[in-house]
Amino acid sequence: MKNIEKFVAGEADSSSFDPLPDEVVLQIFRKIIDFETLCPCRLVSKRFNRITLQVDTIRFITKPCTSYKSFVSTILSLKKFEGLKSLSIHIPSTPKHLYMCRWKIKCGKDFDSVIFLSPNSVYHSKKYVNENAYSKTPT
Amino acid sequence: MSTSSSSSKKIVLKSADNETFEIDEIVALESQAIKNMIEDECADNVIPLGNIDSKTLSKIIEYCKKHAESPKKDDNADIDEKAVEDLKSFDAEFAKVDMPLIQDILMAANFLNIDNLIGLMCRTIADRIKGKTPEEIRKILNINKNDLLSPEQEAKAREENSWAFD
Repeated sequence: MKNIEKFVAGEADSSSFDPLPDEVVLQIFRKIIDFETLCPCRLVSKRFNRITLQVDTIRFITKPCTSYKSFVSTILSLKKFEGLKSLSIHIPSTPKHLYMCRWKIKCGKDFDSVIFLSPNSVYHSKKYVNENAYSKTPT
Repeated sequence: MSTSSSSSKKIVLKSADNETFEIDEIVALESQAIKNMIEDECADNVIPLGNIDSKTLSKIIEYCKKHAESPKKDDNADIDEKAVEDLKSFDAEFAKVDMPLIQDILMAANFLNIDNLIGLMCRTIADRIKGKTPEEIRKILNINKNDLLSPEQEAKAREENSWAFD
């Protein structure tokens, strides 16, 4: 108990995050963008959990060999971000699996647009990587 | 650049610990809050800033001076690349301070409404918590332990994010 009191007292005279208004804290989270970095922020405190979920732009880089369970957990986790406006999914290519594509989804209340970027062929030389882009707006 | 600083109007800022700083008006105008005060003519000779200490205030003035001297993007479409690079490296150096001071600067910049500085401090904090665990982030930012998630909430959040903690 004493330890807790000491910690709280010690905080009063050093800088802490508490006096920063929510909008400013949200600005910090908006700079993070990467989903993988945002998720640990949710576990920092109740306040962080609440503010993190207000982020509207997320970039998600998939891991190689994603299991079905992990895929479902990702979707459930993304669902929590209710104000999400733009989601960008990157599937990086690995030396073993030479694929590479990017999804960019912009959404308001409904889907706004889906952009899918994928090379029609992959060259080993970096010089010749062409990307074909398809943009589709649902009716 | 031909205007001599001695002839320009001066503004005096007073910190919480009663230190005064005399600066050119053009430097003070980097703060939207001070700009509004001056435009509304409700700024006296001395502007008291009761919630900003002298250490933080001198850093903020250093930032505003540099940014006031640099050519603005919208003033001149073809400002030379060197000035942009110069400002970038100044910002990078400026942000190399410890976290309590960064938080103090961010608080003060928010109060004084200096957009660029708020952005710089937010970016700096974001960079420092990237790739860190929740426990490390609490330490870095000195988060109040009274506000931790309950064990049930934490377990739930961890489950939702299990892919990230694999």
